[in-house]
Amino acid sequence: MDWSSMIIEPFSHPFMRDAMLMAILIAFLCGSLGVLLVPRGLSMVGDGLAHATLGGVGGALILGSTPEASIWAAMPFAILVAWGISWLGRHAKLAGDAALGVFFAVSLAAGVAAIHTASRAGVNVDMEGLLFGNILAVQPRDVRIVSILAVVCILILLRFGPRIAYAGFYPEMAALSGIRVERKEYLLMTLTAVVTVTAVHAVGVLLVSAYLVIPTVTARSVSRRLGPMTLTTIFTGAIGSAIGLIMSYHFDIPTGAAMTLALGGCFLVALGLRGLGFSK
Amino acid sequence: MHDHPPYQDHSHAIEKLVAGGNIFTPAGDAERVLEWQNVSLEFEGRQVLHDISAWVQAGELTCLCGSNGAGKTQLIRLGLGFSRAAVGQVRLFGQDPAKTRHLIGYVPQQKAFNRNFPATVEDLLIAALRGCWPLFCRKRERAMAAESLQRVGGLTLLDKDISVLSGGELQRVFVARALIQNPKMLILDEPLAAIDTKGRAQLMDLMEGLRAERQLSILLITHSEPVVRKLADRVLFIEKGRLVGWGETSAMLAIDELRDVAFFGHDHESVIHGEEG
Repeated sequence: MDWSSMIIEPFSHPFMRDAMLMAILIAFLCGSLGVLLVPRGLSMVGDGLAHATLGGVGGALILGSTPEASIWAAMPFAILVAWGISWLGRHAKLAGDAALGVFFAVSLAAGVAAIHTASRAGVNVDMEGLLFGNILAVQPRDVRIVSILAVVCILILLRFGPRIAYAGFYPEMAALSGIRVERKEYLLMTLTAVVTVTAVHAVGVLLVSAYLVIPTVTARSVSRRLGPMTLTTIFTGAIGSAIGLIMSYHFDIPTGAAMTLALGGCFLVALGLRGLGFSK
Repeated sequence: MHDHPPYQDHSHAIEKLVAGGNIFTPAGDAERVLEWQNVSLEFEGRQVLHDISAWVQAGELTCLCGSNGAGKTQLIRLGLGFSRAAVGQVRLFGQDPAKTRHLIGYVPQQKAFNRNFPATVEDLLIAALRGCWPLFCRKRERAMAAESLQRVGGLTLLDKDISVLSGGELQRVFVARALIQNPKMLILDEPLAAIDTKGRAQLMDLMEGLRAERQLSILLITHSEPVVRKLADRVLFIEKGRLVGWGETSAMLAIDELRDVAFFGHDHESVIHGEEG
């Protein structure tokens, strides 16, 4: 098999095309938010919110939601946790990661307790699917839902992203320029919660932070301005996903793991390029 | 130069100043661009400002002086709406500062920006122009950023990453940032600190020029008596959070206690030729 057919052949299957489309959407969403989160020192907020999603899933199951719908039902819970992290960080004068640590642990514990209770009541919960996701199992309906979410998020980010970025760079100067800094912070956390829950559906709880963080730090190592860095982040996420999917297909590696490894490979390549002077 | 011992106890002088007698409220009805009306402020459980009433007149260069920890920066932060007075109120261009602070060009003493953020000097200046962070820059904006840097003698800094700039370079960049907005008023918190001799002379000339040509109102925090003498129309002195002196420069600098408390320990010659304290 030559290189071109090795790349093209996997995508002759509809489930691979759906998976690729979903991966590109997730890369686009996570990349656009990652460039706003990572430079603020909020790299792990996606990880925390992804774990908090488990709490929401557990709560939704207890309230009678089906396992399939429970991830989407978890979204309001994730948004509340995101606001809580912001509020605690601002009003209790806790550093961002300390507030995150509190909510991360408590909501994860609540999720485990709730899912256990639901399981004992006879609800069949796919914990492995929740933790590691299964992008190969996404349905065209899921792709449509995420596409709509992506369009909404991108429209919001086009409008408010540059102001959120300014507030993240220097809150006082942003306030002097007329930006309502606190509102922008809550907006960023809301978008992060929405995108995290969406990404959990596709790539699982444990791999969400890979999508939020690795493409961003990869791009940061080769770009010094926000615009080029955002484009490079999205491109890296998409390329890493494609390489991971192809690797997973040919070498029978779990897809989420293959995609994360591919993203890690992109980061190493970027570091190498920077070392050789091909950057900034 | 002073002939005092290097560490002098000013408590007696401060008591005398607090007792009053050095407040000469400006006569006439010139526009008050920034006004503190009986403001008191608590910060972390401690009262840092006590019942201050003063204002900055339009078109004047007012210096705000006082020893370290006197409350100068807190007074400015109130003026910009970054903190709220426990008692009294602050008016900036006759309104709540949060509504009008976009008209101010502000150079903070501590540049508390995020050093991990992907930002060049050009980005910072264009952000001030646009009111949001630029993803990509237009040619016209780039020319305006270059022109603003040129005025402070920092044109070579345009494409540099902000995180790698020295203290003096940052000062120039933030002054350029304040100017690019075409502000109605400048508030400069020790802008001459960490700038080299040539840069100091350049910035002082620039401030004189802005006041003379554009009738720009300027509030300048400084520890430097020569700077006050050279630039200020009027001086505000605060000590231990209280207003202890306010009046025209020549009258204020004639009061030994004020000069001793506000400027003692700062090398007056080096203010023009070296470090501002």
